[in-house]
Amino acid sequence: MNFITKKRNISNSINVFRFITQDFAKDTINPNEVEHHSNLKDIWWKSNGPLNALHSFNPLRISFIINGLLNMKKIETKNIGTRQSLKNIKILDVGCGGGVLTEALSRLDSNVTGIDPSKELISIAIDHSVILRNKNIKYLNESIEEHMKLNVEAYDAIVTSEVLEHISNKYSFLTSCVECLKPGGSLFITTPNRTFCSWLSVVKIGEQLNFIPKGTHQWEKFICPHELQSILEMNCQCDTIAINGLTYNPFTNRWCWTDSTDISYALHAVKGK
Amino acid sequence: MNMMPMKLSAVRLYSSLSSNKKYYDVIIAGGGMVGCAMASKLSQEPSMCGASILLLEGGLKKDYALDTKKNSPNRSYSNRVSAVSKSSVQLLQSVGAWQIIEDIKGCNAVKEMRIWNSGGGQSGGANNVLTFNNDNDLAYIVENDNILGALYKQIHDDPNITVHYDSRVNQCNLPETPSEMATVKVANAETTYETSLLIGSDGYGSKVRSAINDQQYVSWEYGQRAIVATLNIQSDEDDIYKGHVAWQKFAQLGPIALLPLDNQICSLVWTTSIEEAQRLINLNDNEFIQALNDVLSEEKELNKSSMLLADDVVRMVTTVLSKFSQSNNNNELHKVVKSVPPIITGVTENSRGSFPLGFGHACQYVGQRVALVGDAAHRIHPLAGQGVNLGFNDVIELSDQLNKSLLTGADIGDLNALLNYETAAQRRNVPIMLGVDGIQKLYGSSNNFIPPAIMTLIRNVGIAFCQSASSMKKALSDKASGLPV
Ligand SMILES: Cc1cc2nc3c(=O)[nH]c(=O)nc-3n(C[C@H](O)[C@H](O)[C@H](O)COP(=O)(O)OP(=O)(O)OC[C@H]3O[C@@H](n4cnc5c(N)ncnc54)[C@H](O)[C@@H]3O)c2cc1C
Repeated sequence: MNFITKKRNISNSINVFRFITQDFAKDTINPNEVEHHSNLKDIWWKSNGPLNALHSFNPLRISFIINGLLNMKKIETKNIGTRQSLKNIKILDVGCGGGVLTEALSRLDSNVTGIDPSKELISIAIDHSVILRNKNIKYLNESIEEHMKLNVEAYDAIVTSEVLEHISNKYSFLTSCVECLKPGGSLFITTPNRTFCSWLSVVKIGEQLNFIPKGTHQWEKFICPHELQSILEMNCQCDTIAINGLTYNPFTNRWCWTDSTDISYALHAVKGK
Repeated sequence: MNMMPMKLSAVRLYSSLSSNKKYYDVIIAGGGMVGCAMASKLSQEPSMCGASILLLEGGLKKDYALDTKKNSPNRSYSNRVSAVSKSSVQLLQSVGAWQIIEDIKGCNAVKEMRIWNSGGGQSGGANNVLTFNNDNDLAYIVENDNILGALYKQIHDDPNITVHYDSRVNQCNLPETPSEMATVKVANAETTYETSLLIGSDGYGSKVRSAINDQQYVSWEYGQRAIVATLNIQSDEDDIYKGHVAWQKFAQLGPIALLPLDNQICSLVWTTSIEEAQRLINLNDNEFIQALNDVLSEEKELNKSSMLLADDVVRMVTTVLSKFSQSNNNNELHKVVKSVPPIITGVTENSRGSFPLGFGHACQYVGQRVALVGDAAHRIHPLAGQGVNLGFNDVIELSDQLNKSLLTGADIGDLNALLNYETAAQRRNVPIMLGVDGIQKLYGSSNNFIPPAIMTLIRNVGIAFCQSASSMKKALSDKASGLPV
């Protein structure tokens, strides 16, 4: 039971995030926009609020990115282990939402751009980014398909974290991402798996017990690591460098790496030269 | 491309960022031993490279005269000293302060600790002597001024740290959400300081602590005062640890500690009732020495039956407990020593002072863009000498958590990092605090409703418990590396 509770909570947190993004992507003409906007702003940037799981996810996903870039010898030696570890690295954060990950990337001195199709979320992200003081950060309200048109082979790294599970056309999404990547550049993805466990905990238990609004989940959209890997390798000329399993403990609000990818995973792939 | 127009709130935030508020990445309120160590340590973290730190100290700038202390033949000691543990020494080493202290020979190693109490009576006091032997030094006795002097020297040499003296923080505004900064104002000045992280190290009456939302501060006074003084002693010439023995006597009214500064001089911390403290402070030097020697050699008169009872219980408890403690720790020698307390021969002029004693625990060590370290977060009875060591451990923990989180791109005031600090620090501090409070209640009590024989009995049992329970012993000596003070 504990096992299930744990998973339910993971999905729960992930799906609060998902619920918000979806809601606002669809529902752009909202009469109460201003009010909603300020509410949302509080939710996004409250590290003890409902999106806490997203905030506490940062240390792991950032280390995953740093280690991946370190392996590919992209980090300058003098910057290793400092707060400038991503200096001179051009990164695109696809589906940046309110900018939780984007800001962290920017604080490590990367040259980062966040894009998101939701106008509201980008505006939250821009609002919040004033806190950064003199950092290189840029937000654009557009989809990856739009962004790709003017930014072919423009980035050293592309990050898309907790986004892929919302995307219907994964093929177009992923090829557009890879298109923006320089040859030899790195693609970092984190997303929940599509397994019996996640179906049971998210769709059945989570929704039946009203932890998550009914109908929020399109579990079919979740993607398994091997499916993702084959799209990347067959259609995008990428090599998979690593796939690591992730779990979340809602009681301590901590994420950690595990051997099993059953719940959620992080993937690092590199574009062929 | 579709850049969103700036929202009102952002405009407001911008204007506050560019206004005449002065911004620092970190502001530390209170430049005592803990606050200074915090500033130095934080500034050295690789992730803090280039960050700005402001230290606001309420007091005036002091000259610690470190240079003149060196090599002076007749050195004088201040009456405030600390017993610093191994981990505190490591912290001071890491910021370069310990080397300065060693240079002026400002530290004295304690190699043995002897504890006895007043009810030992005819049983020879044997059961009541608790000897800790440790090849490694247990702790060092250092004058507070030497620690402060060394730390301030390092801080003044550090380009990242700005110090403002005579700057008492009298107003702290902590934000509701991390999107805003914390602000601080100091007495008699116009400037508002703004910061990503406010660290409160402003002692037990902390202003910063009271600014934390929903703060619950659990505190009580012990109804006791500690008398400090610098003493001349005459100890056993044959003692192999001469000059390196710390003594603690659990007297009727409270514990008395003698901390060695050198072969002839030691520092006194004498806990006693408020009335008695008042009387002792007003005595002349000779009367004071007499009173102290009396208490140190005090043997309580007990009638035969209660004496026997006490002895029996001690023996029983010792036997039972030794079954549980499979002591293979070579720091602990179950040696039974007949120990002679040192004789006080003099007291340094004007070195007598007295301090109130209390217990305090902040339920929240952290909040949005705020963290507490040292006495601001916890105040304990000086009995186990853990005060400053707990504070230094806070510094190590907080600095480490901040460094880790900054290296993964977090904001300096990131609440998750602060909460990690709180969990780790409280997990370590609270058991020690409760342990010290418990011992204090056992020994330090002057409860008149309990007949003296029973009090003595409880104390004897308590000491026998200490002697056998290796966990307690560890808490008292090795792990917490503290001295009875
Ligand atoms: C009699 C006695 C003996 C002790 N013996 C030992 C011992 O042997 N070993 C040991 O480890 N501990 C001992 N302690 C405890 C130890 O002294 C304290 O734990 C330690 O000093 C705490 O350091 P701190 O920096 O947190 O606070 P403090 O030393 O109280 O420093 C607080 C600083 O903040 C400043 N300040 C206060 N308010 C403000 C404000 N609003 N704005 C700006 N600045 C402000 C003050 O001027 C001061 O400099 C003893 C305590 C007592 C009373």
